[in-house]
Amino acid sequence: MATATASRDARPGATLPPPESFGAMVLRRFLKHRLAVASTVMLVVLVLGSVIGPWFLPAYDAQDLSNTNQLVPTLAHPLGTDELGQDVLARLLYAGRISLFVGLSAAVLGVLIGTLIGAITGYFGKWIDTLGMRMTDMFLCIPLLMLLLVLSNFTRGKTLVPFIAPELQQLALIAVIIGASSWMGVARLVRGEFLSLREQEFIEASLSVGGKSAWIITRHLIPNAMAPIFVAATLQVGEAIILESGLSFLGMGIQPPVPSWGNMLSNAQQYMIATPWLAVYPGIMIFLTVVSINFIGDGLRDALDPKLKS
Amino acid sequence: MGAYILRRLLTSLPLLLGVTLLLFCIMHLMPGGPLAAYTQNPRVRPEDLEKIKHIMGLDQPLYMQYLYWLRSLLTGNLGNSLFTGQAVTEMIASFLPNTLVLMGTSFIVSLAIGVFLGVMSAVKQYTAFDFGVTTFAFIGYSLPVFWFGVMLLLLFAAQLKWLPSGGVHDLGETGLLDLIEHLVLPVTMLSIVSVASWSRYMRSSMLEVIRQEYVRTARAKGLDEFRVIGRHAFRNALVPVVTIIALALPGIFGGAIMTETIFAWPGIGRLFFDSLGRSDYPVIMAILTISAALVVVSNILADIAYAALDPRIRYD
Repeated sequence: MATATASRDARPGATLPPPESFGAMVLRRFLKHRLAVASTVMLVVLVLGSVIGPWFLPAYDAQDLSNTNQLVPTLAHPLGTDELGQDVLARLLYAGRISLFVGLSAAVLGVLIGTLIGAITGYFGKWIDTLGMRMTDMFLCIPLLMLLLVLSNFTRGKTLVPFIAPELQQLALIAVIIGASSWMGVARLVRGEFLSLREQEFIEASLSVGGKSAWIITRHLIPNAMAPIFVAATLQVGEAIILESGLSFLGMGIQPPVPSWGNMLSNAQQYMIATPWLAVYPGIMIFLTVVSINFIGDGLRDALDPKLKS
Repeated sequence: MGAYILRRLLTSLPLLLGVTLLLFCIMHLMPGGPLAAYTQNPRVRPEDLEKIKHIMGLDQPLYMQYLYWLRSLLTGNLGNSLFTGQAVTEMIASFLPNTLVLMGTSFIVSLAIGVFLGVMSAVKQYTAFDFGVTTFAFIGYSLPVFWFGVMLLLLFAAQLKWLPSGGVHDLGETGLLDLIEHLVLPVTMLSIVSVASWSRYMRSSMLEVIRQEYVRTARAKGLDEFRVIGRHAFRNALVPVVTIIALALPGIFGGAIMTETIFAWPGIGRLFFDSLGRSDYPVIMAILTISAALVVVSNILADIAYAALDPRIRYD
């Protein structure tokens, strides 16, 4: 949040700073939302744990088979090991990297596509608007999970780009699939914002001094529509994480041995009688991540809404 | 009203046509293609492959293939499964009842519980009950549903052994009681999100209505609280919620994929998922088309219900 508002202020040609800068006002109002602040702390812990955590935990040694029966939690393996003897905590954190990466990139991609389509349809209107919105309607007619399953099923295990590790490719592929299937909400949102913004006087002023469409869209309209886009993007990250883990759970997302919270759960499902706790962890990780993201989105919505002056 | 419905139906036809075209393109641009099942078979020779291609019309240009598909769709023929050779319509007809039972039960359960929780938490705003419902709704929003399903399975079927772990019936059983036993877990899983979301909508709609003047008037007339809430407030608060509920129908249909996979429920979602694994294009295409049609119909239903329930809204 801080970075986004900072880049906003650093924009060349920004207006004179008001008595309290926009960033400071947003921060002050965000801090009032206690659940959002607690969620931010939680998310930071989850992100840091996933990014640096695996370095401090015992690495999986494929040669060491002595662990395979040691499934119950012990001091060395606080959450136990899985059927291959891999430390579950380490895998959960490593899976966190993957889920967060895929979720974030899918959301960014989806929001970019959505903003582009929404901006073009909302700004130019007429037949372009009709065409873009009918296309959006069409995509909305296909149940999301079905669309994702079709797309990922037919591209699964395929090497699409040479010279890049297949593990990395599958991450990128899932992110692209989710992003390309979840832009519709943002497109409608941005279009709506643009429709009302483009009637306002500052746009007319820009047009009167010869402002070009691209300039007006990128310099006037998008910055003004940034707040709702940003909130939608935040919520989209949580949504994308749920979608990715759902796909992986069904075996259509991230493929083992690369861990993902989804495929760890479907793996644990096979050992539900002997080691039921293994199925509990991944869901808790997904839930904690998504719940914090949703509360942060909620807090951002309150903080960024210019109508709620306090 | 009749004219409006007719117009909505007519304008949704091009949309549906567009969706089938979009689906057709997605399906055909995907690597693999409808012949994947044959190319993986070492006993199928290249010349056989050409023959199959010709028989299936895959050597025709894409737009011709689409038109052929569309023509057979209009005559009620959705092709044959590449896997079983059975007519797709027959396959869907045999799997659909199970999905309808699951969806229908879960719809009724969600509706009853969701609306009840919403109304009660609005009436008892800022009490412990309201707080509890709100917390539950937030949990429901962020819950990975498939995990919730696995947890239900783990707790009530694997560990406690209170309920069956999957299927529609136990072997040799056909009774209603047995069916209900098998329905409890999948219906709980399928309903949790709609209950969370509908209770939220119901609550905010109810809160808005309670503040209206006609509710104050009803109280002023000396009606008892039950009448005021039940007859005057509730019925009006339901209007916007009906739209949300109608729009959520396809979501329940989509959610059936997860539920039916986890609880081994032989329905459309399961058929869709299995057909994906077998690259059974005609079945996948048929289920996608039906789902898209369901979305369009739900949208129209939502608008009609809105117009029918609220006399202030007129469509001319």
